[in-house]
Amino acid sequence: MINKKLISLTFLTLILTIGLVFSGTFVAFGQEKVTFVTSFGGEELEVFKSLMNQFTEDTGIEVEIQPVSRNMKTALGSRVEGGNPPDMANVPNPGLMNNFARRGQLASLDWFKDTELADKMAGGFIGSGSYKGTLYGVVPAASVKSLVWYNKKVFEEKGYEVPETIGELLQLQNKMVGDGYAPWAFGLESGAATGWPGTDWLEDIMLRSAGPEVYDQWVNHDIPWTDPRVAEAFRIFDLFINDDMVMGGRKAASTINFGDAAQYILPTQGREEPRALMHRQATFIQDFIEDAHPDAKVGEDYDTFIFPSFGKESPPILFAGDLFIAFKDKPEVRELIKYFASADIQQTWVEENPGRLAVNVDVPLSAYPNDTLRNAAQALKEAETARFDGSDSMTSAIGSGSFWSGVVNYVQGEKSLSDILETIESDADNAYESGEATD
Amino acid sequence: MIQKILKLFSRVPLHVLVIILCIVWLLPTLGIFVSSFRPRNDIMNSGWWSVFLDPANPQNYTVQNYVDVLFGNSIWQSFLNSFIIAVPSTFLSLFFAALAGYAFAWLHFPGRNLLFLTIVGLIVVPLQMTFIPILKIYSSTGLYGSYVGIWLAHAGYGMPLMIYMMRNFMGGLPKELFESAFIDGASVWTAFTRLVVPLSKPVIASLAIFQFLWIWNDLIVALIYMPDPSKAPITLTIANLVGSEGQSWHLLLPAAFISMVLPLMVFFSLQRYFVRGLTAGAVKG
Repeated sequence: MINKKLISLTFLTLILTIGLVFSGTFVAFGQEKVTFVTSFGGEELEVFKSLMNQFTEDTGIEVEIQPVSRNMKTALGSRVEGGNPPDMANVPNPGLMNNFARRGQLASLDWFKDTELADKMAGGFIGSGSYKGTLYGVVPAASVKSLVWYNKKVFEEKGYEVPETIGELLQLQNKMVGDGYAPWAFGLESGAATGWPGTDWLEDIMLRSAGPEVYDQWVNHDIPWTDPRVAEAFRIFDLFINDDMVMGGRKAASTINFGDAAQYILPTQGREEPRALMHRQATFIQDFIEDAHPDAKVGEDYDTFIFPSFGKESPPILFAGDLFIAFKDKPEVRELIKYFASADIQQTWVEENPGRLAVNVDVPLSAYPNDTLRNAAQALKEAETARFDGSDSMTSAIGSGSFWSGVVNYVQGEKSLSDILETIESDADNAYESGEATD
Repeated sequence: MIQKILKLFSRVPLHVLVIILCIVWLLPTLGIFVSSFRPRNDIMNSGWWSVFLDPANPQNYTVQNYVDVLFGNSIWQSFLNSFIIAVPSTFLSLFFAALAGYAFAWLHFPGRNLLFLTIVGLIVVPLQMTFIPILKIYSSTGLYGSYVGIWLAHAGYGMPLMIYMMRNFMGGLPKELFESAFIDGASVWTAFTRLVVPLSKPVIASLAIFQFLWIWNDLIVALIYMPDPSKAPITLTIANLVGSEGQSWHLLLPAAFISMVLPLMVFFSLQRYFVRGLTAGAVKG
């Protein structure tokens, strides 16, 4: 009897000791290493790992990449609250960064502003990485959102010209309807995040119709959602997504997956003609088009133009990107941020992971694999006005909640515009009053 | 005779209902299974049912997706990691739950019922609520990121339900057995190892299956307590196959089946315990 008791007790102590030894070594090695929580997955993650290996080779600093896929908010949020923050992380939205910054959990990156690299960042990136004047996030690579993907073959056949103003774009889509085409492939479905592709539309329109200053006020909730300029943006949006203009009618949009929508600008299986001719989506959507049409060539079969502005002036650019944030200020972390802000590493990144655009203006346009990305990169470099995706910058209750569902309701046409905007406004009021966000 | 036929017919609606339910439950799994063998751009272009239009055409099928998942990633390592996480966690929780169930059923100590009710009440506490406090404890004790940490977390999360099931089953064992054992001079420990454990085999086996499957399929606990990717279980590695915008999601299809192989084996080899254990403790003997 005693034997059995002894055996189980020894066994237990054994596992506990082994475990403690393991966790002990973990801490001991942790001194030199930089831990980096990332949202990258799949091929992106493989490229990111190879870049980090290069960093380790060049600097001797070990990096442990901890992928959490699309669960960034849960995984990183609870780790930080639980007192286990990693050294660094990349977050895709300034809203999340601002949450950490407000609670004083981030290390200031203001030292970065004094480096030469800060001057090499394309316009708008220092601003979107800042919270209340302090820099907390540095973006090494971005994607341009203000892009319209179109079927180049049909454009050439029918003699359509790439529009230079929103007026021309509206005329063009009427012409397409006259020729029997649906102008836009439009899909809102994205699981729990259904609606976000529509928020990008509204941000692009808002940035043009109301101007960048009002746009900033809107994103920071300094003007209410019931402001007439917000309503105007929704009504302009309606000109593009009404029943005549989108494939399958507006009600179909919330059942079409955002990733699938893009493929319809080229003829899909068993069809002679494409179901639509244009699709407004960021640079990354090229992966999805290539998946669905492995034989189609970008630049020949399909191409992009920048979503135009109202006048002939150069259009403002809406972008998104991954903010590198730091929870600890140590030399290794500074080294890593500087490394990723440099032109060399960004060039490697955009070469190996097509779809990403370098933020450092020294990266030559020749680094990009095709003209489409080159044009997007040039637009990002030269844009007089560039803004981070607004819904990503809003507090998450709105930017990843009410705004999404508001767009879905609007596109479905089930509620009146004023009802929708009042609902978002009252949610925003609650979010700001409850202290989840500050004005 | 007529009665028999009538009886047979009266069961028809029930059978139809059962068959419909089976189809509804199995259809998505079948869809994933068929899709996992389709080429990448077919998956993106058309629904899985379109293979049935031309089922004999070999061009409709490929094992490339399986090859990509099995040989392009650290899936084997994480398969092993899942074992390293699931087996000790299951063992630990069974060990403690059996001891606790025995104590609550047969040992008399003050506050026994109150304590039992408290533990049973913990069944309704969502585990998400515990992440931050436990992480704080783990970071001060060095358990964070270690296998021991995740074993203890899984064991703890399974404990309330397991103790409840164990107590109910063990409470149903005949009282006379214990009386005669104690008259013969058995200690509390002897009664546990010689009487309770052998007699409770059905409930122990079914809880072992439950707990093992739950841990094997878990993503969130591993995501929170296991930052080190070289120790990550298969669920976490599979989640990372997909890009941050959802690129390459087609790899999830074969990955889901690879991860499912083991739970299915466990289930089919032990299913008689599984069904028996479901009613364990339902009726007091």
